[in-house]
Formats: sequence, structure tokens, C-alpha cells
Amino acid sequence: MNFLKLSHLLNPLKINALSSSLPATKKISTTVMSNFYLNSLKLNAKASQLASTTKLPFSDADDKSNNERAENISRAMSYYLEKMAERESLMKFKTEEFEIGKRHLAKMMGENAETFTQDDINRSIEYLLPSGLFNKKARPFLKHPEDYYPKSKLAAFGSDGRPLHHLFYTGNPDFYQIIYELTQKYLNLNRLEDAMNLIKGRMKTIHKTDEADLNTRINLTGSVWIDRNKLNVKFNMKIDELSYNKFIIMLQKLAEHSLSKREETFIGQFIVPFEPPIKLSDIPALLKDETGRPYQELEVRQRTAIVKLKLYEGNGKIKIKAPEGNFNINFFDSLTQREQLLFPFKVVDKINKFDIEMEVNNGGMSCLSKAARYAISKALCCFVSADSIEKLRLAGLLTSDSRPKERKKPGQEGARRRYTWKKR
Amino acid sequence: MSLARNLNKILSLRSLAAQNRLFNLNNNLINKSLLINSVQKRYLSNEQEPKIEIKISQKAVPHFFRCSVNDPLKHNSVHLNKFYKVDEKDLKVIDPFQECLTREHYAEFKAFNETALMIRQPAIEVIDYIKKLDLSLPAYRFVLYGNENGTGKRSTLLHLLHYCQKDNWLLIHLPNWSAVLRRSKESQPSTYKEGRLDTPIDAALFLKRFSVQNNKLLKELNLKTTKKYNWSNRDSSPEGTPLLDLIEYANTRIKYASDICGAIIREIKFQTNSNKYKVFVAVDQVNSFFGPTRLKRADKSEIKVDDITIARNFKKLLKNDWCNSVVVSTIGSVGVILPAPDRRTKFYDTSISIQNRRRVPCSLHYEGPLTPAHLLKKEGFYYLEPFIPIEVPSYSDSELLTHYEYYRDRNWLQSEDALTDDGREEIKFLSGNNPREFMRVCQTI
Amino acid sequence: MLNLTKNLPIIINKLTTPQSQKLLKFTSNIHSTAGNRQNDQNLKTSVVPQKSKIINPLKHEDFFQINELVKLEDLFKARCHYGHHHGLRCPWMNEFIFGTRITTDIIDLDQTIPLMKRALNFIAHIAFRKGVILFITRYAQHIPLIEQSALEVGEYSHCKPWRNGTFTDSTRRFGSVIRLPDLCIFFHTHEKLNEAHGALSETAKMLIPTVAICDSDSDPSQITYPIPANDDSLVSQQLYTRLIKEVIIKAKKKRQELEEQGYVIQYE
Repeated sequence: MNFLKLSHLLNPLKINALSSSLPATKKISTTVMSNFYLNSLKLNAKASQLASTTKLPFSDADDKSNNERAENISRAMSYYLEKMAERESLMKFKTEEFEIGKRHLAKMMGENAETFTQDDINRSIEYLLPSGLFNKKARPFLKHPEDYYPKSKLAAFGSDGRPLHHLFYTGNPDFYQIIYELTQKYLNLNRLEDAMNLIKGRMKTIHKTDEADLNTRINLTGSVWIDRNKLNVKFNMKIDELSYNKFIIMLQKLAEHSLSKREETFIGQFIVPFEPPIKLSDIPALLKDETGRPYQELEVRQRTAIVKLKLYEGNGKIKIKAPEGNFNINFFDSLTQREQLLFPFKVVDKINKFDIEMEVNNGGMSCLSKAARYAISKALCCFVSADSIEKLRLAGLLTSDSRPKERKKPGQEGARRRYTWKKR
Repeated sequence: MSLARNLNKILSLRSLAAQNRLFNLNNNLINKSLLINSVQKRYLSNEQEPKIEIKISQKAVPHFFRCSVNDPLKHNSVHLNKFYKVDEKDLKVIDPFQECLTREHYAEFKAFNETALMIRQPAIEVIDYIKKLDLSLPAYRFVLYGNENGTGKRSTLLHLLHYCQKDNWLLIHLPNWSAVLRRSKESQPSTYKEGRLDTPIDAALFLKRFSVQNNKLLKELNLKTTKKYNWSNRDSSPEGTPLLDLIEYANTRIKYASDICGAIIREIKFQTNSNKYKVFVAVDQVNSFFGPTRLKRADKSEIKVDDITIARNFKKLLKNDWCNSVVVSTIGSVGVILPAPDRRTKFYDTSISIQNRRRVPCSLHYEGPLTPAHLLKKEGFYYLEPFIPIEVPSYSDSELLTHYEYYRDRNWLQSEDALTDDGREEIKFLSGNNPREFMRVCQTI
Repeated sequence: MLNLTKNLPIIINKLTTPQSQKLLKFTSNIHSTAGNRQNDQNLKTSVVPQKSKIINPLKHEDFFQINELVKLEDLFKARCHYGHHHGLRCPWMNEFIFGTRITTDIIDLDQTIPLMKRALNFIAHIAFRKGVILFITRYAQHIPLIEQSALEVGEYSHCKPWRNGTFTDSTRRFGSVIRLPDLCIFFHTHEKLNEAHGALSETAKMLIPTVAICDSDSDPSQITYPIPANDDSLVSQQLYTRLIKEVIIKAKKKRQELEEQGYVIQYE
């Protein structure tokens, strides 16, 4: 026993001696440091016991039980440190490999290995091993291991194994910490409001206060709540859809509080300025006819239907060029299909102010009419103001229907239609 | 739902008819408020309110869509795009069996309690021509056609019939002719010549219509046969029999109706040289004379148009070997007789995959181009040549506006949204300026 | 887990009153064995302070003076005696119920007090030995209070939806070996309506001792230190959190003071 204890005592001394013997410029590698830390921890636990033993004689059995407890407590930390040490050794090995590889590559390219940078490596690898693989991640590369090995996490607990965060056991402490702060802030505001009301009630008897001056609620116009993905990136955590929705509801509740301006900085973290999804810069400019008449050209495909549209300013003439012949709006038999064409014009309030020239091909009637609707509303964007474009977007006219054609099933005439049933 | 709406329309019209005083009650808001005030005054106060004021307001606003001249003889280009009223007595003479227009039209006439036709450019054009014609020359042929269906060929024809009836013309009217060739009501082999087909009921119907349309004129002229006709071994009519008697004879002996029909046509055609009368022939769907038929003999051999007795006789009217006559005919897709759809016929093109299938053109209706060359084909074109083609276009903006205002005046548009300018533009967009589509869109509102 | 609580009152009923009182006092310190039971005065005399400052907290009957903390009046004022509708009663709770008034169960506070003292004592001992204490509840109204009080005393809380395997499969859940809590305190034993909290069975599996406030509708059979009392009203929850906070702080302070004074804490 004594020998063991002595050896343990000596261990850190040795390391210290080593470190002192080394020149000051060279750092001790992190592996050594972590090993040192690990050992010193164990030793510290035992040193205290040693101190006690020096003063009082203790039975061996008692010593053992105490030792076990001490070890149990720091097991989490020791495991973590072991893992760290493993990783460090691996990284050391890999860096050495990288250095050698770099030197070889420089030699192959006939350049100086000392001044060989990462850009040079990339260039030379692209030259030596040209790859046409579509995914860039699958192409050959040579990089420092720190760049592509997953980074080690910081320990979430101290040396005695006690977690550092009070919500550690929930599994997502960062996110729940925000929620915790949010609730506490809301409750504080409630308390404050109660107190203020109480004071106000007493003040009113003396003189009236102007309530218009008290602009205490936060103004959220022109902004939206942060996106889930952005939130994940910003706070470096993982949130599922359900808890995100709950979180937004809670934020909304805080923002609607009558004193929410006091928590402006907190709420400000979760606000992003509203960006219109359709940018005016993306809309193409108007084309011009030989006669100088402005028009817009488009081709829209939906399922099998193809619609080629030309939209002119005019007075409501419609020409539909189908394989069967030339038609006006009566090409569409039913009123519902004609209303599809009408709808975008109605939204922007410009019925019979545009001429339509359409070339239709393939597709069924309802599909064609929907494709025409999408084409018209897209082309209309070039003619109308930004407000009207927003109206079109809100009406859902600027989203294309991306559903593909449903496949034909065996044993059936089409996707859904069955063969006519005959009684033998 | 639609029934309820229609009932509402009819009821409102009834109340309209009953209370002429409150003519404008539902029409526009300003008058409404005025009227309500007057009504309130009338019922609430003891003083009696003079009713003259309302009458003045009714007369003071003449409707711009109505033509003050209801006599078609006086119609000219000044009265274009306006509605004129047809007397019920006249209509009963011109169109006794309500065959000239579609069923929808007659339903509207019934609901509106009046028959109003729009004076349109093609009708005025033909009337102008007729006024200026030299009738001593061989028969003039007009062909009305449109680029779409439902542009108003038959209502133009009705307008022309009305004009000629007022101008004391002898009318020979063949409405809905293609129906006979599709499926005659009764058919029997001819006794006159073998291989021909008699359609006695259709012939009798024609004779009845003919007698009603020209009863007054025939009595005045007192036309008589110039030849002895043998209907069978026993029955015959001697020379000098009045035509009206012949028609009555046909009513009693329907068996001989188609032969009598031929005789009458022959007599009329022969006696035009006397310059006593003028003949106006109106044929609907004339292109059916130059195509196949759906009728079949007992041995399932096909029957051509020339094999049907009355068709053969009517076809003679279209020739230009007689004078003092005008032939106005329409051509349309209804006249194109396609082979009867079999029970196994699929109405979609099976060669296209099912997702892309549209209704096959020509399976039920003719859907090709509607020009005279396409519809009459070579045979008909040469048969009618020389003829004057007259296009009946779809509505212009002003025509559509007058029609809209007319409907509005008749309280036919019940929805409040339809009464706004935007609503009118929407209806215009959805109908594509086509009169028939316009009518149908307005029915649902 | 042994169901100590279930058998305890029966024994008391059978014994005579002075004996039962004596037993109750000793039960407040269950870590002490029957042989080592000694009075407070005797213990002090046996230890020789001059020679060495050795303390075995388990040998004291009331090391943290908890008897003074818990009062019947406080419990009564905080409405701790209200139970649920008698139809909701869990049969294991029959012993702790005083009676039923207007279809509502009334909890016998005379039984609550010794059990509560015992539980608080246990909490204090764990806190004294620097154990990890986890506060658990799923009652939405109390969550901010309980999270806040856990933070104040430097302990941990879990008031979020329970994911199965948090204790039993902790290595995979947290990505590394972690130290599990040494004590779980349940302020409310239901997760959803009438459904036991998922942590209850997991603590039992992982041999983690539990303290829980058991209302008349909750099942105390899997709990080491049940406290029969009302768990729904905020006022009573405030009382419990106040007591527990006080006890934990007291224990931690005591530890610090003793270490500063150079005492050696020794168990057995």
C-alpha cells in the first residue's frame, strides 16, 4: 500500500521535473497536460486521505470504502479526460501524417516545403488527381486533421462530476435556459404591472396621468420571428418543430405584454426584419414588340401541360392556339376553368385590360387552365406595382404546383380509373 | 337552388308587371329611396300623395337599349344595337311552333313577358340588300355564317322573317331541318317512285307551318294548281284546286303529305313569273342538304338526301332557276350530320394516353372550322354558287353593353356583384363576347 | 425498493404511545443502525474534541435541527391537508387519509409531519455529502417556481417533457458517461393527467432514492420517502420549496463551517 501511495505521490513530481527540464520555448503537448491533470486529480483525492491517515490510525476497510466513493464521483470526468487523451494522441498522429504528406507533395511539385500553403496543396491535388465526381465532398483532398475531424465538446461537468448547468438533465440545457429566462421575465413583468397599477390607483385620486404618453409595448411591425433553422445555428442547438412552435407562442405572449418594451433586448434576439419573398429585382423587365407595344413572354409546364403565354396591354382579347385550332376563351368548356384565367386579373383589379395570346399543348383541360393561371399571374408581375404583387403572392398565385403526374397502375386503365367491369 | 333563384326572378317580374308604379323599385338605389319615401308618405300621412310624379320619372328616362321603332320595315342603321319588341300576334304567325330559336330563348321571353330582339348589323345589311334588289332576276342566295357557334344566326333569321312577313312576302321556313335527316318522326317507302322515302309527319308539319305563316296571303292570292295530281290509283286532285284546300287534304290524308308538299312547292315556284307575289325562303342549317343522313332502309342500306321526297323538293328551292325570290340560309355545326355514335364508341381518343385525353373532335359535334367552304363542301358550294356570304360576328362592346343593360332592366341579374362595373367586366371576360355564352353566364347569376 | 412507509403506521398503532414516540424520533435518522442508537448528549460526551475533531453526522439524532422547521400550523395554513375527490384516491394512500368531507379527501397532517421531517433530514444529509439533487415536476403552474428554487440552492431541475432512458440509457442520451443524480425530489408525481411520471420507474431501476409529495391520487409504492400532502396548490408548493431550500442551504453551510474549523467528517 505504502509503495503505491508513494509512487502516486512521486508521479506529478516527475512530470514537473520533466517540464522544468524542457526548454521554455517548447510547450508541453496537451496530451501530457491532460494526463497530468488526470493523475493529479486522483492524487488529490488520495492526498487528503493521506493527510488524515497521518493524524489518525485508520483501518484498511474504511479507507477502501472512502476511496470507492471518491472514484465514483469523478468517474464521469475521468472518462471524459480519457476520451480527450485518446483524441489528442490520434490528432497528433494524424498531424504528423499530414506534415509528411505535405512534404512529399511539395517535393513532387518541385516547390519549397516550408512555404507550401493550403492553397498550393489544393491546386496540386486538383492537378495530380483530377476528379469529375459530382459531389465535392467525395473528391480527394489533403487537409489538416483539425479541419475535418469533429471538434471535441467542452465538458458539461466539473471535476467532481457535478454538471455545470442547472438544467443539464433535460438534455437540451441551452434551449431550456432561454425558456426559463423568458418565463421569469414574463412573471417579473406581471409583478411590475401589478405594482404599477397599485400606484396608479393611488395617484389617480390626486391627478390624472396621460396614458397616451406611456408607450410601453414593443413594436413588432416590419419584423418576423426567427426561423427554426436560423435559431438552431445562432444558439448552436437542436430544436424540433413542436417545441419551436411552443417557444414562438411564448415569445408572442411576452411581446404582447403591456410592459414588453422593458425586455426589448431579450426579444430583439429572436427578431429578424421581414423580407418580401418575391424580390422586385428578380422580376424580368418588359419586352417590346416591333410596334413598341410592351409585352411579357413565359412558358409554364405543369404535369404534362405546356402553356406558352404572351401578355400584352390591351382590352381583353384572348387567343388560344391549340392543336385542334384557334379559339377564344370558349376553348375551356366549363365556367370554373374560365374563372381560373380570370382570377389573377381580378386580384390586381385589371379585368379586360390585357390581351392574352396562348399556345397550349398536351395536358388535360383543368391542368391547362391552372398552368395558364400561373403563367398569367407571373407575367402580370412585370406590369403591376409592388403592392399588387404582394396581393398576388398572398392569394397563392405565384407558387407553382410542382406535383408530378400520377403514374399509371398495372391492372388499371390509368392512375385511378379501372377497366369497365363486365359480369362475365 | 337554381330553381329557387329562377322562381325569385319570375316572382319579381310578376310583381313588376302587376305594379307598374313601382317599376324602378329594385332597379337603382336612388329611385328606391325616393319611392320608399313616397310610399311611406302615402301610408303614414292622411294626405293623399299625387302619383303623377312617379309616372313622370318612369317616362322621363328613356332606356337607351330600347328601340322606339318596333316595325321592322323602318329599321335601318340608326337603330343598330338596340332591342325592339316583336308583337305576340306577329310571333305566333311567324314562328307558330317556337322552332326558330333555342328553348332557352323562349324561356327568357316567357320570363320577361315580352319578345325583344336585338337589331344587329347583318340583319340590317340583308334588309338593305332586299330593299334594293331587282326581283326579276333569278333567286338571290344569302348565306349567314359565323366564326363561332352561338353568334346569333337564327335570331338574325327571325328578324328577317319578321321583316318579310310585314312586307307581304310568301314565307317558306325550314327551321331545325337537320333533325329530320338525323331521325325522322315516321318514314315509309314512297308510292310515287321506288327507292325513295316519305316522311309524312315532317311534311305535314311543314305544311301546317306554311299555312299558318301565309294564311292571309294565300287567301288573297287564291293560288290554284295548274295540273292534275294523282296521289294514288284512287285519289287524285283535279286541276284548279286551291292550295289551301290541298293543304287541308294533306291534313286528312297524312299519307300523301310529302307528295302534296312537293306539289305545292312546284306550284309556287312555277307561278312566281306572274309577279303577283314574292317568296322568301329561310333555311336553317342549309349545309345538311349536302351531306349524309342517319336514316336507313329496312335492308340497312344508307339513304341519301336526294332519296327523301321532301328534301328533294326543298333542294329545288335553293336553285336559281326562278325569280321573285330571296333565299336566306344559315350554315352551322349542327347541320353537319356525323355518323350516329355506337354504343361502343368512346368519346375520347384512345390513341392518346389517358392523362392527356381530351374529347375527340367530331365524335359528337362538328368542331372544325365554320367557314362556308368547310361546311358546304364542294357539292354545296357549287350548288349555291353564286351566293352572298354574310358573317354574323360575336358581340361588340356596345352590343354587349346593351344586352347587359337589358338584362339588368328586366331584373334578370339577381346578384349584387353582377350589377357593378367590375361584375360586368367579369361577365364579359367569361363569355368572351359570345352572345350564347353571355346568355348562359347570366342565367346562373 | 422497500416500501417502508406502508408498514410504518401499522407498527405505531400496535405499540404503546411512549414507545411509538421514541421510535418515531429514531426513524428520522434511518441511516443509523439499531445498535448505534444513542442520545444526543451521550454522543457529545463520547467524542473527545481536543484530540481529534471527528464527526459522524449519522450518529446525531437531529443533526440539522429539522424538528424546529416543520410546524403543523404552517402546513395547515398552506392547505396541505386537501386531497382530491375520493373517487380518485389511490388505495395505497388510504392510511394517510384522515377522512372524507363533501366528497373530498382530507390528509392526516399528524402523519405527514414525521414523514416530512424524515424526508427533509434525508435531503439535508445528501446535500451535506455534496450529492446531486434533482427537482422534478410537470405541473405547468409550478415550473417557474421550482426551476428558480433549484437554481438558487445550486441544484438541478428537470421540468420538461420526460424522455425515456434519460437515466437508464444516459451514456447514449448525453454522449458520454455522466454522474446521475443522488436524489430526486418529485413535487408532483403525475406527468399527464393520472399518469405516473416517467422518472419514477427509472429512479427505481437505477437505485436512486426519491422524495415525493404524494397527493391522495398518487401512488407512493415506488417512492423511498413519500410525504402525503397536497401537491396542486401553489401556496403549499411554495411552502415545500421554502423548506427544502432552507434545509439544503443549511446543510451546505454546515459542511463549509465544519471544514473550516478543521473537523473531519467520518461515517462509521
